Amino acid sequence: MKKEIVFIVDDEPMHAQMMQDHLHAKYPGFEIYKYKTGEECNENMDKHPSIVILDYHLDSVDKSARNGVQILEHIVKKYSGTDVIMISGQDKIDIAIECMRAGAYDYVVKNETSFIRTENAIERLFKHREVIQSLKKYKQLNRILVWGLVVIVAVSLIFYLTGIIG
Amino acid sequence: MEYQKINLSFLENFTRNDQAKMVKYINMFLQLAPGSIETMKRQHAAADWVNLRTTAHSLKPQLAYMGIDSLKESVLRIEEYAGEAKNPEVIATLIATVESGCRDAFIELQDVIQKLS
Repeated sequence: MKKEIVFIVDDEPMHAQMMQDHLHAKYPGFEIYKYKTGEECNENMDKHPSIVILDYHLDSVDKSARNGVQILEHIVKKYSGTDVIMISGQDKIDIAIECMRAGAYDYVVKNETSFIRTENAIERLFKHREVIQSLKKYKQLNRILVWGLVVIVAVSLIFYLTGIIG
Repeated sequence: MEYQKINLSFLENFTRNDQAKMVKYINMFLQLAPGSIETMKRQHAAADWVNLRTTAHSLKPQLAYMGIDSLKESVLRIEEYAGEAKNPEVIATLIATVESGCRDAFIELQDVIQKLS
């Protein structure tokens, strides 16, 4: 089974540590990396994370750091195999909409429930990926069946026209 | 010691009563929070409202993890007023409230650490 690589990008060390510990306890197979800025996250994208848990505000320590949405847009544009779960202390609907429009898989408010909500978002993401995989398989199977039918009809037609049948 | 400021039920739940983990998170809070309060005071003095809002915003979840609910409203108002760059006198009072409340909470948390270690 492929190992899931997860990035936690958060400049608040306490929340990042608690999230890492929570996910480690829940998913011991996860390989988790923590980064304080989006720039650090971008530099490490060659590790091919399947999930990035990304804070909306990334400039509380480094004032020049790019904000979470800028990093989200960059990931969505360049890394199609990576899903992003946005985290923010803001429970304002317009911020959630902004993140979802920019391509986030989900949006979680940073508070005492954010750990369990992130876990739930990951579970939903896994189910979503399973559905996408099944859909791909069915499409492939469908294509094979259609081509098989075309071949049978074509061969029957050739036999008919050449007088082998009837 | 009876705890007036803190409520560690979230932390106990989160760590499943793992004392080492509780001490780890409390220590992180004790290292980070005083710095955040000093930063807020500095930013207020410099009328740096944008960054004051960010600092208050970052402190909010940390207080929640330690169950310091009595300061939640004050931090929310600092964040709100700083975001609107208004009521500097009220912000000063609110920062003082947070500082004083946290000072009491730090003493209680030190006591928890002593008991758990």
